[in-house]
Amino acid sequence: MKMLKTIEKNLSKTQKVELETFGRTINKMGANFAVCDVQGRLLLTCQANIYETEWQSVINDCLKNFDVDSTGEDKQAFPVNDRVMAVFLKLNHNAPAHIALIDTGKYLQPAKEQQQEQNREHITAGQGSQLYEIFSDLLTLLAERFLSESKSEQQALMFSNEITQAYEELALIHKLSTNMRIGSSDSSYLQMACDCLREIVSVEGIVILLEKKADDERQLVLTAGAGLIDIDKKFKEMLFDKLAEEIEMGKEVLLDSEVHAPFKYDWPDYIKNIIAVPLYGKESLSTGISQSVGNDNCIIGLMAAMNRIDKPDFDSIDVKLFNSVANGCAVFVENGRLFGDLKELFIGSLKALTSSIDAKDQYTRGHSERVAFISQWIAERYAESEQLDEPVMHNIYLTGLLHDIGKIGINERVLCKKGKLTNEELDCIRRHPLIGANILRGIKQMRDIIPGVLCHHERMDGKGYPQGLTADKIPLSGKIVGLADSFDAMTSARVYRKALNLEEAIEEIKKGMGTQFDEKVATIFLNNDIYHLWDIIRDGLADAFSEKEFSYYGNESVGTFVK
Amino acid sequence: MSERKVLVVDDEIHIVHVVAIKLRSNGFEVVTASNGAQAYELACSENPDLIVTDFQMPVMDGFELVKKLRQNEQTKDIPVIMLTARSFSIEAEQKEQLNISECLGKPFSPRELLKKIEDILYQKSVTN
Repeated sequence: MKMLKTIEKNLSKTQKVELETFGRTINKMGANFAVCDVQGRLLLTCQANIYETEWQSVINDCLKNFDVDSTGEDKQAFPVNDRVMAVFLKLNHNAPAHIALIDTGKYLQPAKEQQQEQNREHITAGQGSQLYEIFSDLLTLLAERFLSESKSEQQALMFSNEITQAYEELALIHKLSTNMRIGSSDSSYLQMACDCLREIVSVEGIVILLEKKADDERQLVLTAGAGLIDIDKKFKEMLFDKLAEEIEMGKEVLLDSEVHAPFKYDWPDYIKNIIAVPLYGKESLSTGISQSVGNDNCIIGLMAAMNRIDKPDFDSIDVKLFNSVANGCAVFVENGRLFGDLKELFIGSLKALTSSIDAKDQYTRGHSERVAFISQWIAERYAESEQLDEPVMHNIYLTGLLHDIGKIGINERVLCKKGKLTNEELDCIRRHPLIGANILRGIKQMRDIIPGVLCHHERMDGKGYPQGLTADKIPLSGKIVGLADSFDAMTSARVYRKALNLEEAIEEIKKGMGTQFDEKVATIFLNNDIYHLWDIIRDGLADAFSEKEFSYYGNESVGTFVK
Repeated sequence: MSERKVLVVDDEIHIVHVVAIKLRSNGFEVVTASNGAQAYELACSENPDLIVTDFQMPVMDGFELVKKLRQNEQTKDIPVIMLTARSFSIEAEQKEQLNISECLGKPFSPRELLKKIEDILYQKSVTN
């Protein structure tokens, strides 16, 4: 048997064996067998070596007289000429048919015609029609087998695709749930969800909208998205409202397309089909702790996709997938909100605590918050040239906020004394870093800010207190908060002196470089838009001091500083 | 270009199926094995262009397999992608030492695996 490489590649092993066996059987009956494609190329021949067949001219006849395009599932054998018969052969479900040919070497006559011609008593009629039936049956059987095989192949392929798709989804959901642990921001996590989802479900666009309440007005914020879809405000609102309506009616998803019926809703022109699933969450903590307990789920946002590319519409598998991804996203957003609320509550409480200490002395009002702000300002600029992680920067902010917490343990008479302090009183005040460190030592989460609180009055030349450390022993947080503390003290009025203006303060810091202040920290502070910082601080001061009533001050200062 | 052949090794038959389906539908020839020993024999007889192997397997695990492959002149340069459980990570040093091209945690995305395979084979064809 001769076989071209091109056909061998397209055949499965069983198909190959089958064709070979078939060819040999035909040969045994004294006939020749061949397979060609619809372009007329001879791909396979099995010769019985009794006579030669001029295959190419047979094939040409065959292609000329039979419509090869309409042969989808035609499995009936047909005669090509008086000794050759053929059948269309489906080798592959998505490839065009091939043609299997048998040259019987003898005159053939179909059974029907034989009856008509019986009267003429053709000498080979009986044998010819018998042969015709045998070969016709054989070819038809062959075609049937290949057809059913290609059908089951097609089914197997369909299942296979579904399995790989399911596996793809599994990997996606796994990825989403593992990444939830890592503290990424809402938008980057949701973006990842959109991107991943779009890779396994081909759509023109995917978006995630989150509901934000600003000034009692609902706002839908496009938090993440993938693909190219134009979403304007009206469309956003419509999506949200219609989804809410559908859910009200007991559905779990909004599906709309023009495939089976006209659109249920009036979408923009470019929408062909659309899916939207809700993100559920509880009301955020900021509306009141007691309220949030036992609250029912409400829709905090939605995930929507438009215009399925490779299918006419979204199916139930898509719905399931979108729902699980949306659930993951909702949990993430919700956790983020709760975390944010807790953080706000935490910082707010600290601010309230420190400002109540500052408020003991009218000259130090708002001091801690300003120092915290300035410390963070310096740390952010320090991080531009040196490696400084986000948690470290946050700790520097907290150190700034809590650096004077130890003053809570200092006698108010000493703290607010208007005259000159005695040595004893000075010693008393100088204990505040140590007292502060001791207070914080009791809180596990504050461990990292203790060194800064303890060292914010140390000097590079070792003349500071309480330990008299020198430059290399003082932690960075101590250096930064120390500078911020001094700067704020210089620029605030004291009982015994007026506040320095900015130029004077800059001069003072320059003078103290290397002795009182760390050179690098001070340089970074002075060289980075300090005038801008000054403006911000003065604005903040104006606000903080606008409220004359002391009782107000403690509450008002929380959050008033940086707008 | 001649057909690219990939040997897929895993004792979990569904993983082998999923990988094989994805690869076959993208024009690869796929040979499969369910443990390291069987895979080693196939690697020698079939000369695959790349091997995707699980790490934990009975009889001979993924590590043993790669060690053996690297000792054989005929198979020492075949790129290997190792599939691992998420909780288990292969140390960079070992990865380097055994010349493992890529480690992929389960459950992995078949699409991602396919892309990695294409990349590695492309690199290989460029460097040759």
